[in-house]
Amino acid sequence: MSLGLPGHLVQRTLARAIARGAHWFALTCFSAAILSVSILALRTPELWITIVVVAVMAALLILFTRHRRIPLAVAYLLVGTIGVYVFTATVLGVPDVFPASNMFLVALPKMALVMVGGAGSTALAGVLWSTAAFLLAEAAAFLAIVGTTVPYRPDLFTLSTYLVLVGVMVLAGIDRRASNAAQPAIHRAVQDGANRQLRDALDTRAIALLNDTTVSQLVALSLAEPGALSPALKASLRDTLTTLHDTNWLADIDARTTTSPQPTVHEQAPTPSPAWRSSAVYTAVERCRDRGLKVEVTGDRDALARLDAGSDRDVGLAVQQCLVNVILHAGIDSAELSIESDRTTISLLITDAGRGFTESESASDRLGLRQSVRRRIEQLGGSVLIWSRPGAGASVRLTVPAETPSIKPKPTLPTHHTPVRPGSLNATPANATPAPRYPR
Amino acid sequence: MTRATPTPRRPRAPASASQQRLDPIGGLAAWPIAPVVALIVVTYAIAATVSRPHEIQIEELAVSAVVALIIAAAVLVWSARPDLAPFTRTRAIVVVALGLVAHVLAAASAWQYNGMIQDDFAPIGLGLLLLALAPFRPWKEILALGGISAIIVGATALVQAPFLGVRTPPALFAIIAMTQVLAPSLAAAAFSRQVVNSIHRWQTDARRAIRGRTEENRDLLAHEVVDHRVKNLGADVLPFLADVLERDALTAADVKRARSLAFQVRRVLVAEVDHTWLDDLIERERAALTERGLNPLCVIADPERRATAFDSDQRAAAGAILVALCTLKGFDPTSLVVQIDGSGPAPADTAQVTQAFGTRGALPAPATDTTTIAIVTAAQEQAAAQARTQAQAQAQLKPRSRSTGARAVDTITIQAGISLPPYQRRRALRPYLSVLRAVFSQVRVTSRHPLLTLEFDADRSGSNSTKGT
Repeated sequence: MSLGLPGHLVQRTLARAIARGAHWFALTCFSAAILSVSILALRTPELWITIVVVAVMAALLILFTRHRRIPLAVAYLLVGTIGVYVFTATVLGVPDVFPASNMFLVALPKMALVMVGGAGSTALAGVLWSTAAFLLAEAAAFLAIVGTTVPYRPDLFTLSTYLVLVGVMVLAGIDRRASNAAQPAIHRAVQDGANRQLRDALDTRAIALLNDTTVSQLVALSLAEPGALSPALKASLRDTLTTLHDTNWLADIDARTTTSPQPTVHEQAPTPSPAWRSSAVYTAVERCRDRGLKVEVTGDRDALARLDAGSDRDVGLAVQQCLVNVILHAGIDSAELSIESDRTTISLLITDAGRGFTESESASDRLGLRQSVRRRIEQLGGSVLIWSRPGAGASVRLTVPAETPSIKPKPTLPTHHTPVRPGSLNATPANATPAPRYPR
Repeated sequence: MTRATPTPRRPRAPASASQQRLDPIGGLAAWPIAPVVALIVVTYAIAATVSRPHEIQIEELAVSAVVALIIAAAVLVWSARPDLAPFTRTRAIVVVALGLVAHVLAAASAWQYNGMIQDDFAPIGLGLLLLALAPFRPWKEILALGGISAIIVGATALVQAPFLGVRTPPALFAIIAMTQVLAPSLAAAAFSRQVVNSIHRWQTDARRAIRGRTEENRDLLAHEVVDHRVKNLGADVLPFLADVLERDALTAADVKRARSLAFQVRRVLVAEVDHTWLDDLIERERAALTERGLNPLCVIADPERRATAFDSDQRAAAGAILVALCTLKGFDPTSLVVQIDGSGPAPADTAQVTQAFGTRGALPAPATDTTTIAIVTAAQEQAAAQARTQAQAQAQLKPRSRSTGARAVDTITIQAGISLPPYQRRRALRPYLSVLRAVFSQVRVTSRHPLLTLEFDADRSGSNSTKGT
């Protein structure tokens, strides 16, 4: 991850984290103190009071960690000071156990008290709170020690804990990043990357579409015989020009689900189910049939309904490109499309018995499959596999992820071969959601 | 009974996350904690050893203990150095292990003569070393290391209990010693956890915001792309098509012209498809440099389009340093060279069977790769689909098994001439390098004034570029 914290969040984040660390330090001290005095209390029952004192301090600290408010901090400080006094006086009051006052056990509640500073919202506030706690704790402990027979020795544990905490807070408080331009630059780079990614996705689609329209059109013209234009060629030329002149073609594609049905419709096939007819693959097949290709469709056609609008559109365009390739290059007028599905994916296999091809011969001409088919499908998280050999036809398998079916789709029309209808020009059914204007 | 809609939980930070990993620039700011702690630990160890000569029975052991702790502190400082980031788990274990060795040696040196547990330098030193891990290691790891250390320290205290000068139950000594290790460890773990969660939360929000901003630009970008494409199509194609449609007839010249236009357009489109984010980026920087009145010459050598395999973090980090280099004072605009090469297979986009349905009239030729190009005969029956699926599975398996054998690495090399004093150059690039170190597996910086060479590796063998934790 490269998106670090921006300058204005650094202080607050570090302050919170230091507070959390300080509280855990304090709670560990309290736990150790309770455990230790409990063991000692087995022999010296008057120590039970210290357990109560430490427990009250710990409870206040937990309350304070939940609600970081000044009155609670003040309460913790005052109760803690009294607690330190009682704890020190009672523990050191046990005769003949501790040789001097500077015992780690005695320092435990003091260290915990100093940790109140960790909750300061700024470094300065933290240092002030800690200093107050340190002075109060040391004063209380001194008064308590004076009342016992144990000789006074300075307590280095509390002092060094205090110094380390103050050091950490000061270190975190010095914002050495304020003048640093790197973090915004990284942020900008991430934003740029996201923009570029979207742009690339749009561009991929644009190039694929241009390939589908313009290049296909030019190729079709270059293959046509001189003379009058055939009606199919004329229609597709008109379609290409309308598509390209409409400058919103990228945006239009997104609006597949909201486009109104095309006006030139007349119902034709009695069998296809609504799910199949509303898919873009159906539209693609119909368009290629309009261009004279016999397409045999088999398999689980209704599974296509599991694709969302965007995937459906892209799969439709990819299938169309594969079929257009058959029309242009395979030298045969029939192809087969079979649809298979499992719980997570849908596979479409486009097979023809035409000329076939090898890898090497397509090096300079790889746009169609690469851009219009492979890139599209890969953008959907799917995969494309191609089998072909010159003279032995070609198969392209498109596999795309699909929503898991909530109800098992009806196995309608399995292996039912839709009759080929060469003359069914503009045969988009009435209730189909047509794909946007893209050419045949 | 109605139920409130549950609020979606924020995604949790990965378990291996640390402040340094998630926010490399923040990790850079936190690094002084390591030398400061090291200094305290070493000073205290020496002072404590010198001030208690009467307790030490075997001087050699006492000296070795101090030396071990000094080495531990040195390893800590070395590991935390920003140019050697990230702080790996191995380094953390070495630091703590050396601290434990120091503790055992110190205890052995004063065997039977140790007056008090509480003034032993090793447990406190160990605790401080663990505290210094907070910005660099994930909280669970700090907790585990702290726990193990505490158990060992507690056990040594129990063993020494019969010989100590204070008459209290032995468990008390164990508690005291363990607290000295556990309190700082828990503090460090809590700090690490809190800071990682905060950064992760910010990153999630920031990414969402970036996505939002990008989506806002969608229409604009779509427009730009369409404009660019239509313009690129040239003034020829559309009028030509319109003309043919109007005439409603094709001449032999039209056919010839259609063929040549198809070839041209396709060539342009293929070139555009080969464009990567790196080309875009360099192009933009080139334009910016030209705008500043310079005469830039920026070279990209990425013949296999390996740049496409970089993930978004790697793109952002590499992009940021390229922009930083180009805008740095003293940058020689004719010197920038970016090169990507790698040991693994090139990104799928070009490596696999990316062939169009070839040119017309393909010549029959034997298939070159019988595994990936299976023969598909005419009019496939439904039953044959099963066999095809198996062939497909095998074809997919083959490249994968090949890539797991050797470690596939893409190396990006950036070379630039920068006539700045080394100190200033280092200071300007340090934050960017810290980010690079967080997203690439290895970053090497070499410099022969004024030429600066940055090399970094991106692992391609795994699913992501996660480095050894």
